[in-house]
Amino acid sequence: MVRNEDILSILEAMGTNVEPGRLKVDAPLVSQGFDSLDMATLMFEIETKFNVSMPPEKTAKLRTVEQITDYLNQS
Amino acid sequence: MSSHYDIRISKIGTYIPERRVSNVDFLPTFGLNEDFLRTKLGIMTRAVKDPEEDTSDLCVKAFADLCAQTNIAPSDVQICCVVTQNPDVSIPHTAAIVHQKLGLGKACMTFDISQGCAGYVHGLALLTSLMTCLGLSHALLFTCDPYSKIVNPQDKNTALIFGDAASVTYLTPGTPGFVLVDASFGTEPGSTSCLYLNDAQLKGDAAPCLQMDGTTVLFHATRVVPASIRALLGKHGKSVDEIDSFVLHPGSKRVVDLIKKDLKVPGEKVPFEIEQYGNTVSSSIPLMMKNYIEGRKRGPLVLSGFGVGFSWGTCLLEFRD
Repeated sequence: MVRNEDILSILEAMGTNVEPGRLKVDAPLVSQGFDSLDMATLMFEIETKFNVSMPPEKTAKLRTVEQITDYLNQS
Repeated sequence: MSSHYDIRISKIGTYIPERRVSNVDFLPTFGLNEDFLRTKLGIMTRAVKDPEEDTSDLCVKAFADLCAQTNIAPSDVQICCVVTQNPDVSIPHTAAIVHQKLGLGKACMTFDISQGCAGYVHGLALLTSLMTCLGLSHALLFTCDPYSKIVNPQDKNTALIFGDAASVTYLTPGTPGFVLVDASFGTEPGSTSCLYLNDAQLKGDAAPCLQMDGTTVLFHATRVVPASIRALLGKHGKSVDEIDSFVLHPGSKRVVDLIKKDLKVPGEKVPFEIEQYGNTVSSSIPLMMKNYIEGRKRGPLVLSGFGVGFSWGTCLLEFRD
């Protein structure tokens, strides 16, 4: 079972300029300072950590931490 | 491929236009900051050719740099190949134009290779194979893809990435140099739309328009490149630790960092040298390779290019006296 905190810890480890503690899990990450390269990197890190495939055609619509968590728990 | 291959990468000539365009000046336009340039793109300025210069002109200048390093008689050259997707004109092929400008001889095969960022590895494999098969001794492999011809400066996805440059690699047997030991190639099915040129706009008054889906490019690159490198090394009983350097196409700092992380190789084994001139497409790898030849380094090298297609090429090189 993947939790929102798991995704937040990955974002923290990525060393972005956004404070993970201030991130809203139900708001789009791109509206909180993340760009497309960050999103692609996040998917890469998630694949490595959870051993799942996160192809762009399936993950392009995942915009929030909650949506990513739900996707991982359903896949 | 077996070890009987004896075609060496003897010398590499390069040309990078002197004119630089600063990416910093574009940051307000695109709502970006310098941290983005330094940590993600890794490109602060881009080399841009003179508008009057064409692809063949850049190739000729790279050849002048090659001639400053070694003696090549124009009449000896048996293959003149240009890797480009931005030719001078559609017809004739740019290699024929370069052939004419350099005054090469009649017994010289000329052809272009339509490939992008994986083009150098494709060219090395094709020319090495041709030379071995036909018993040829002198070949020139040019790379030149001036994307300033096709990038829309208002397009946030592509405007800050590409630089103009050219290279020419002199391939010949017998002299000390790197030998192509083996190579592998691939094309991701159904992925052509991640990088393409919208020709329709080029025919009208609209700005040229290279289209790039950077997320998809990064996705494919970070999956196939480490896998292709491991497979090639595994085939030859080598580990990542036995390779002196991994000369990866520097699409962006982020993509190189992620591939490096996946391969678990230290940073000093993966050069990244495009901060001052940008991603020069098929010229990016030979620009870095030149340092290994001039520095007389002898360790085994892995080259890997990836991009348009989405396609890739990975090869293993070893030095031989």
